Amino acid sequence: MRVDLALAATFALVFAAALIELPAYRWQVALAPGLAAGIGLALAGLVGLAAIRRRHAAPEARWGTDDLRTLLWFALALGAVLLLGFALGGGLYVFAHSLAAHPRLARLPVAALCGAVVPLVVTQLFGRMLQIELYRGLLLGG
Amino acid sequence: MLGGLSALLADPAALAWLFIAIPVGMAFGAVPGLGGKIALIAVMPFIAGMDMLAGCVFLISLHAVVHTGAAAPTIMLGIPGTGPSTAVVADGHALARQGQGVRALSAAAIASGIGGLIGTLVLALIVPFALGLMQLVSYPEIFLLTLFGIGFSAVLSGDSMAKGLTVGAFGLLIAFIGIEPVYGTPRFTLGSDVLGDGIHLVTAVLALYAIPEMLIAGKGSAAAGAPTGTRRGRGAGQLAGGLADVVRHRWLTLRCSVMGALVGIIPGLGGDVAAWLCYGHAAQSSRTPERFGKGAVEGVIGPEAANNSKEGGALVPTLFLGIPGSSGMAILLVALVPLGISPGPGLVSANSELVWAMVWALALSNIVAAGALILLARPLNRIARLKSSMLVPYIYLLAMASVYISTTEWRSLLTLAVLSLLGYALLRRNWPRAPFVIGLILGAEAEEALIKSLSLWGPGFLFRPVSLLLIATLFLSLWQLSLRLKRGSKAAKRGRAHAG
Repeated sequence: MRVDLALAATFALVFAAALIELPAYRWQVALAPGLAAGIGLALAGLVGLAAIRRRHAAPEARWGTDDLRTLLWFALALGAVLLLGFALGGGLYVFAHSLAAHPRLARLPVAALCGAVVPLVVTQLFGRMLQIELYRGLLLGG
Repeated sequence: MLGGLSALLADPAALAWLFIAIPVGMAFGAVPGLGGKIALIAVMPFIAGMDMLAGCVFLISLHAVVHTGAAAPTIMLGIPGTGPSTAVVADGHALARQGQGVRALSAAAIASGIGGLIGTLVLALIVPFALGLMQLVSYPEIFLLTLFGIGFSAVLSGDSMAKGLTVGAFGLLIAFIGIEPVYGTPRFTLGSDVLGDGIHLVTAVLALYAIPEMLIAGKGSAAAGAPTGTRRGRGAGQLAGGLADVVRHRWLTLRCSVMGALVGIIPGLGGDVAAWLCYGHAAQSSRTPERFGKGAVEGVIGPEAANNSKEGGALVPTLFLGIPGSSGMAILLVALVPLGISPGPGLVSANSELVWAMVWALALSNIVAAGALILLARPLNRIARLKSSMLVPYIYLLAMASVYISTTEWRSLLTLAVLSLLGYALLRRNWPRAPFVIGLILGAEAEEALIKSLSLWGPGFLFRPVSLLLIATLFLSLWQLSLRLKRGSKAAKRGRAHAG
């Protein structure tokens, strides 16, 4: 996959979409975004053309299963926090990551210890000391 | 002037609060997403019953040392502790990855201390001229200074200026998402109330810097996390190395400190502009600008000096005119009220001793914070030497918690995810990320200044004498810097060819 080209195309698409929306606004509201989107679209076009001219993508430009696995671990962290909150979801995520991430980082007791730190920090440091209540998760009442 | 020092030293409570404020302020700086504003808000409930001098000293010291504390996560973990720290992250974290984290932290601490002292000196000296300077700089100049910041970051972005400018324009466009402040028009919100508040800076910075670095570290790549270079010198040697760096670049430290203080005086510009302006200046004045972004210590010294000196400058309009120089100063202004202080033109004549005590507290807290950071540099370096994949899950959670604390909205975590994917793609393909953050930071200021300039002067605002001078300086500096960068990269290529 040509990531450079995909990035330039994504930027160009966003700039074009912004330019299409601008006529609905008064000039004071549209001027600055119009300038940014107009200049950005021209530049993204230039970068995209340069990427097309380069026929062969460098090996590091190609995304593989490593990238996918890394992104999935991040998605898992996000999902756990969104569903179960920072204390429980975060703790479970750290436990799972410590136990299963590649390369394997810890055995069961160490992984459990690593995971247990999270709810402690969330409830004691953030909750009690700083009086900041962190998100409790969609499944646990937000 | 000395009356303020003796008042401060004679009041044990004030001194005690100063020493309490320093670790608290540094801790707030060290946790991404908290920063100076949250620190001030968090302590406000405890201020109400305090003695006037002790309260002022506490607030000033707390706010002054936030950027010094922010240097630790910025350099060691690659997570900018505060907005202005984004200017330090590229070179500071690159140094940490090369095994020179203690050197970078030591240089950052000393530059911060010197910057803070010079900012204080500027605060003390500039009072008679402050009003005149502020009248000289108006919306057109603020608009041009914001363009200056984006232009510099794009030029410094590496091989392709077009990529840097594209990313900068994208950052600007993202800054315009949300309710437009003058007419209240929702812009690019797609009907969502989350986007109505715009994209929060903390979300963007963490998504573009912290998460992508950790995604790479999670892959076991050498691009982030544990140091990859050979460790140059032991801790003590590196501490001395940081000191030697600041001595070697003493004029840069001095220039950036003065620039930071002057930018701080101009209401509305803030620490981000100061830090990036000085980063650009450091690169421009360097003999080897091609090293910037890859571990140039000048890229740490310049913005760190500016970050702290800006605090002294920002106090000038806040205390003497009642005009907050930044949003942090606006909160400081509010926090001073329960202590019975009315910042404004009459403050010096009514409370001269208190004003000078605050000036001394600012100086003292900067020195103590710099010393504390130097002492902590070696233990903090152990964090950078931890196996990076061990830190990954905690940093994901810390980043998400920072976003949640800043926005108190769980849906911001989805914005974080989308921007993180973009940040990862940019990092993997070596696209510059700094212009995005600069565009996002300066977008609102640039727009406000542009619209007000057009309303007041029409398109002719660009032909005001100060504007013309700034435009000429902008183009000359960018032209000179890009020439130097080209020469530098050619020299580096020749060097590599010889070595090969």
